[in-house]
Amino acid sequence: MREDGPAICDGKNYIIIKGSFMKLAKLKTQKQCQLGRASVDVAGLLGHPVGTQFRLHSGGGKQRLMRPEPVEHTEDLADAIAADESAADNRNLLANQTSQAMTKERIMEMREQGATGKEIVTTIVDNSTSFQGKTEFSQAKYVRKKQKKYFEFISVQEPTVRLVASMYYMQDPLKIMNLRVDSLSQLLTACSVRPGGRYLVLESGCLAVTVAAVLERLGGHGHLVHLFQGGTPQSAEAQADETVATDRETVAPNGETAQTAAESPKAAADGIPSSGGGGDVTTTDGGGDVVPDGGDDVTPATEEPTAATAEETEGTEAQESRKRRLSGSQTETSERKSKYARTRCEDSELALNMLSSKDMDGLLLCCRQHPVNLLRYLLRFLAVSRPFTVFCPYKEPLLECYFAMKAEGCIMLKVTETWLRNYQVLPERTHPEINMSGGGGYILSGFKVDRSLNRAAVTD
Amino acid sequence: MSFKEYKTHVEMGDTVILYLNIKNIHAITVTEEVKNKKGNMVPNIFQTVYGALKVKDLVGMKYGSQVQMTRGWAFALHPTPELWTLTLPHRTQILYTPDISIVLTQLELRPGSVVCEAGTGSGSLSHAILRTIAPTGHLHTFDFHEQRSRLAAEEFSAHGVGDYVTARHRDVCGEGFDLDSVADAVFLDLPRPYDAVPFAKQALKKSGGRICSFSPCIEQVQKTCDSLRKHGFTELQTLECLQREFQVRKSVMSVFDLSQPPTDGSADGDERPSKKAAMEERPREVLTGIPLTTMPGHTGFLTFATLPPVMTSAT
Repeated sequence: MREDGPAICDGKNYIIIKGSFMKLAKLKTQKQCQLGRASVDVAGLLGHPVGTQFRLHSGGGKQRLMRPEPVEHTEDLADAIAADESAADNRNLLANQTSQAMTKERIMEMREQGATGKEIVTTIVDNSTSFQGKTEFSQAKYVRKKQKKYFEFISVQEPTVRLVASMYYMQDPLKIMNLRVDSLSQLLTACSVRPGGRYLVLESGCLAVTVAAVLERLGGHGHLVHLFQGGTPQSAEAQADETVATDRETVAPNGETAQTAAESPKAAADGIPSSGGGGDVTTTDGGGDVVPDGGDDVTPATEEPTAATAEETEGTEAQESRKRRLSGSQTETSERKSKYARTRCEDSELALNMLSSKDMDGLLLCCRQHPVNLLRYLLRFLAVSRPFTVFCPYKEPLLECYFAMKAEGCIMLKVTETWLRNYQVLPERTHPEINMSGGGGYILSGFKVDRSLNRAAVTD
Repeated sequence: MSFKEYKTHVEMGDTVILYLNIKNIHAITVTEEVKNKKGNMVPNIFQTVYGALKVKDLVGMKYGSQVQMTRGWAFALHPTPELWTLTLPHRTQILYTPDISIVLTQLELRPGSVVCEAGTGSGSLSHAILRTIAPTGHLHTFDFHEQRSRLAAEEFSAHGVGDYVTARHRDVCGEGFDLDSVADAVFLDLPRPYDAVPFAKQALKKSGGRICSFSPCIEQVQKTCDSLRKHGFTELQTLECLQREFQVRKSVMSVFDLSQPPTDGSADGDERPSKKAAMEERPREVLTGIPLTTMPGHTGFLTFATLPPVMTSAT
């Protein structure tokens, strides 16, 4: 967060936004960045401040390598293309297939010749016989619809939790258990995540979005113990962690992040690391419900995440912060690269030690498994007067959890969902958007308290 | 002093959240004496539906434990910004946690962020921002109401977060933030947010940042969006978020099977129609969550936007 802002660097992950399309990509000088059918020349993006908007110029040729040029403003063609005439209403508008004189072939031809989006859309408008007969608003809508297809502006953004979570949700809500970004936000406040705190997060099946979100809020101050099922966190999870948490420069010294596998919760609880502290991990019964590794299909551009990002970690912050995260290969990489790195085994031990004091500041569950037993078990690691929260794509398991936690004496139990509606705001055309998400998952929250009556506070 | 970080035991001067039941939660400051209506100092006794509490007796108690009162007991909870939002003294309308949560995420706040907020109001959002940006960030908060601004500043320092915040009495719409290129994010909750947009732009860092405007009325949103577009903000998004709470119930429903003949009535030759018109099976227990009969249906529209970095002539 320097005053002049960080520049777009070689080898780091960024979110590329093109209209309503988002993509997580690792930018490398030698490579191109694929955006749909077009590819962008990465060299032209590097060195500009993060957040810069670029206009893509068609390079022509077969490869269609787009050349980015930084611009101050993007252009809304609906403003630029204004017809001289427009109708008062649509009474004379006829629905037929003859109103557009341009053919697909001619448009493709224009594209290959390197025409800009504006030129193409202008040509399409000029060749529409019905355009003049549309109302002013309808014309703008028409142009915007066409513009979407020939949109030529992109922006390169820091991969923050806001963008990463929205991107995953947009690609496929089920990939992250329908965890919409507003639900994620509620989880973080329901758990009152604050820097310096110690949080126990059980996550499986959300591409580590919740882990990354808690890490972002800790900002290098505090601790996070990540419980997960299986031997190593999924590569996609590790990647989300890396992407969001370590690519930032805000990670301050003295922060530590420990993760451990759930050594079948039993072992973890007794503080006994099973066989060598994390090498092999017992999976819970009937688990096996492992999320497909999103790494490849979600983010084709970020292959080999471990080596490069680990290097980044060592280079900029690890020496001070000893910030560590794991996955078998990452740990190996780190061992080779830094004497400061903790091994996976040490990581597990640290996490188990932390848990054994049973005074975590927050408990967050977001998992594919039925949460009731996990929650009942993990509650013991939470300090009193601290919040816990459970996310579930279904309401019913949370109702069971509600009664289980009531039986444990917890207070302020609440089962909620949030309802999110986006609006189109345009002069005289403001209304809710036509489509909205039907649901973003359910949340149970509550506080753990001590019910052994305190003798010291008896009043008169 | 208890907002700064978690601690285990109540100390003098702490703010304690006294939980009696879900509808009865209070924030109390632990002092030996308080001023009464006549301005005299009297022992600090807090009256509740479960009887009186000598507030100084809370000192030394473990947070999260039970407090005995004359006619029942309560829990002494550690304050969090979310509990504060439920219990704070209202000097204005306030933002509630569902909206606050979205604001924190969408403004990308994290430790180290520098934030400008106008107006301060009752400090509900301010406390949540402070929790999120401490210990390395800073909040500049403004209110055009002198007393509100002063009371908020007093609260911040009483809560131990005074170092992370500057509360000023200032009319942002007319005079601006008096800050140049320092902020990562700006939050506007003003009657005329569109007038503050150019000042917000000035307050944001040259490397760009995020802005949020909260308005209850769509007319304000309309004008704010126009203003944001005019001043070069991108990624405009206006949304509304409501929290639906479910009452969790175990309910028993009787079950009938109309396809089976009644079990009694016709057997003893009685001419009157049977009371049991159909076969009744064992009642079924249903575990369910039902929506509240009334819920907040509107709080405000949240408009978010991004200010891209300022282009330097070199590039």
